[in-house]
Amino acid sequence: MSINDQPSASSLPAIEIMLVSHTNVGKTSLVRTLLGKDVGEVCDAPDVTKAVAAYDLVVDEHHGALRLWDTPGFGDSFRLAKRLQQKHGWIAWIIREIWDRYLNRRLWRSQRVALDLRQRADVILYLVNVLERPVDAIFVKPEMAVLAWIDKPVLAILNQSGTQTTDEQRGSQITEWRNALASYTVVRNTLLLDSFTRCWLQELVLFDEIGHVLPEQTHHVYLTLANVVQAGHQERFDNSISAIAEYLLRIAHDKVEIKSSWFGPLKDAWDLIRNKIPWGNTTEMDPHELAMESLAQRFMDETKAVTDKLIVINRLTGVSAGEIVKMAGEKFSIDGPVDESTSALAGGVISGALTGLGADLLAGGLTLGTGALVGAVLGVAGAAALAKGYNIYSSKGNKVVGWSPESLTEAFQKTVMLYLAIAHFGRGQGEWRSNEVPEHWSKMVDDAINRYRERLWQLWARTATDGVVEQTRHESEAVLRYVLVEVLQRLYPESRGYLSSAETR
Amino acid sequence: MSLTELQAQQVTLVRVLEQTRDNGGLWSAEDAREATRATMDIMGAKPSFDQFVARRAEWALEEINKRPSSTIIDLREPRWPILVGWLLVFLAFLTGVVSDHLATDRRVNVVEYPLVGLILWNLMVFVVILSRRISWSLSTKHKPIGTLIQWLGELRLREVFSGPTRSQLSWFDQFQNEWISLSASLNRIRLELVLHAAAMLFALGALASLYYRGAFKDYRAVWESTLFSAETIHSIAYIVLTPGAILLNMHIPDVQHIASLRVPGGVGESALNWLHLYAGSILVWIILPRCLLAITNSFSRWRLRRSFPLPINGTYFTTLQAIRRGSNVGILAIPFRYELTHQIRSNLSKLLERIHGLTVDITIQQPVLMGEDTKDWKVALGSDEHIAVFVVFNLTATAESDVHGQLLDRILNDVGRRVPVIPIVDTGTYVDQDKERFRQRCNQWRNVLDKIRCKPLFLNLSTPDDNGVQKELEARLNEH
Repeated sequence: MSINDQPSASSLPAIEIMLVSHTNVGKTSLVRTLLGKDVGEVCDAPDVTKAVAAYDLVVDEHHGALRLWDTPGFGDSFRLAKRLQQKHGWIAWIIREIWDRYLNRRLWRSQRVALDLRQRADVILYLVNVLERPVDAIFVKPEMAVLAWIDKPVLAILNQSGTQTTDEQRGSQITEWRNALASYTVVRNTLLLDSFTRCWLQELVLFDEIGHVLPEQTHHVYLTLANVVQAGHQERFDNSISAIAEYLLRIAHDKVEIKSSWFGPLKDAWDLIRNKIPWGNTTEMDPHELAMESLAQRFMDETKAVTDKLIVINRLTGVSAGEIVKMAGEKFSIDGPVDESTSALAGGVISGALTGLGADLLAGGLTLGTGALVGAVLGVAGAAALAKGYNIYSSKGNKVVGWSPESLTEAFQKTVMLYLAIAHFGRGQGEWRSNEVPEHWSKMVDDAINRYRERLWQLWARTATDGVVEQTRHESEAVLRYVLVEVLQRLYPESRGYLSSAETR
Repeated sequence: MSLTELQAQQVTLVRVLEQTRDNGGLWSAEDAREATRATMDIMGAKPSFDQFVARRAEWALEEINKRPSSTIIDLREPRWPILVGWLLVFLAFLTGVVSDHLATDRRVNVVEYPLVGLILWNLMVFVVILSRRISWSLSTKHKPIGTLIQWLGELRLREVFSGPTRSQLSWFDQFQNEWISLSASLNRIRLELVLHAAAMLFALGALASLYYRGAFKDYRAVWESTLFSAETIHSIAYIVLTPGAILLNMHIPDVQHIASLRVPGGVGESALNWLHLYAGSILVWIILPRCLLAITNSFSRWRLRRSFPLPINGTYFTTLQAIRRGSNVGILAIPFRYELTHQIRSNLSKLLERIHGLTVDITIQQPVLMGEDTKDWKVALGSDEHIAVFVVFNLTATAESDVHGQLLDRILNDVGRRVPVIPIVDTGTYVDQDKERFRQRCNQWRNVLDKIRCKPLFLNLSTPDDNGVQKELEARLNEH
């Protein structure tokens, strides 16, 4: 049993899920998102899909297939409803096949779609555009009449809602649609699922609902097939967690050792003073700065790699973080060191003479240097924290530069946000690109991380000494999983069932 | 067109007042209707439309001025700009007199370089004026106003407009901008007139000084040069002085004669003939052309002041004309499958008022659905005559040829091509989408409406206070 890799239908008996809607509501986009593949043609125009097309989502030699049908959108819905309600079959046939076929091809196509639906569909997914108000989308009423004529279970899908579903206006639009669709008995349930910004958990809720409306005799087969879909998503979730955990451990363990000499502190003090004299500034980087630069560079490389990996795991393609890094790289510079030990030394050596200098140093000369670059990868908010986030300590007589626990926690938070962005990026939207994420996500992530802050700090400390070992890997994955599950459960309370199993892995 | 400058100014002021509701209660829709009724009563039906418009504006301002003194608006002839103009001309003459150091050391050069320079400068100015006129006559582009004209316009308006503190008037900026733009040609002519007169007086000042000093001292005509030979000096003198020689029937000395005037060596000769030759040449090269240009400008100014080119074919005026003819001046807005919020209705009304004026009756119908009742658009359209029909669509909807296209086609056929039918596509509900999606959706609407040769107008009706929106809509109405 497997998820079908080929965007086509097999000859196996199947449970047929057919997507219908008024024209240009986004059926093909949703099919692409559900399949995780680019199928059909997508364009913001009416009548882009001109023929029905079937795609197997899951294929099982013993149980058959779970099949998705993309269909041309309904147009001229009022006449369509009237045509289908024609009592005399032969008159309907003549009008359809002789008159409409040659004189009104769009109407003819819609009738053929309706006939197909009646003949094949096990479940119909009826999409509406949330951006339009129900009162303006007057074609819904005749289309409901068409669906009633087809007489198959219908689930309404609220598409194009975006991620800002907590936004007041968008929220009222969604409620308005739910109320409007509730008045049609043919609609068994209404689900929120934006083919562009949906989360995979919402897909699972959809497949669960499909199971509820299917005829009882198909339940067994359907559950077997739907479990494959669920397993696929769970696997991607697990793989994403592993990739992120590995990434975090690698940067937590990353460090640069600087060889020390007996006159090192004095040299540091001298460099510090020299850098503050206008004519004493040199463009040459000192070993600390070189170490920080090298850490930042590796951080970027790792971030690029993990983003690429997450994109692939989640069945997306497109511009990776590498592009962003490349762009930000043009501005790569280090403004000055943040060396607390040196500043403390300077304070001791020339106390009083450099009033205010220490504060300036502690505020972080790097805030606009490497920090900005790192920030460009993971979002501007983290820039300052990461910039100040180098840790310098002594080990075996040498100085060691690594990432501070604050910056690693910040990286953890940003990577969780990155995962959420990728998990909400539907394939129907096209190539992966970084979209604006809702503000409330960030707060949820912070809340969740705060609960595990102490564990995270212990993890960073252990990783710095022990490296990436089984124990740290396990701990990292566990904390990450707890945080992600908590956030996803808060975002999608209806999907707790799927997440509780994920939590206990 | 027979409006004077003052009348045109009054008409523009009243138009601005009538195109905004935010005129501080100075002028309401009822006042505007009353102004039309009263003017029609006073003038009857005979006078031309421009006379009607002018009298109406005069009546409106009289009416406003009858109100409490804080709202008195008085448009009057400016004084300071005229005085400044005369002062400039006088100063130019004085500068000409002062700047003449030609006869220092009791010598006049055969080739008097400052005078030659003055002639060349003027010739260059004439070439620039000529080429600019040619390019303007060939180009259909709007002439740029320029900083000087803008400044002059503001100066004149400051003098002309006496009313409440300008900063208190939200509509004053609009009036100022519009009037400066409308009066730019006239102000350009005014400025040019002063500059030509000043240039003429400057040259006259220089000549007067030359003659004044020549009358009381014995000036000698000489020349000296390290580089030029007598032949070259003769050639230059010949080109520069020929017009003067012809005018005064004098002859220009030959090469040998000029060679004998070279210093050191020679002692020169009396400069009287040379002074006459230069005076005649300056007259021909500078004073006569400048005088001719000044006369042309004076005539143009006289003509424009009496017959100001105020465009009265804009939407506001066609509305007034329709009212005067007794036609229905309703504007109809038909939303299609789009329930407009109260805010959008109010914004749309304001926008249409800004274009047509307060007197127009704006009707925004309930949405046409073309659902089970495929003729409901006819009911919305009604049988009354309208001066414009706006069909309002929502960009969130997908444009369909057999729905949106068909509705527009039917309305176009029903109202005939006499009445402009403008499809407005409200982008306000779609602005949150990313740019690429927005662009694609707009193109999709364009493609569908293009099939019935209609151009959609994309407006954000949620924030229509943008001047660009008004201009865009007005341009579309005037295209008709």
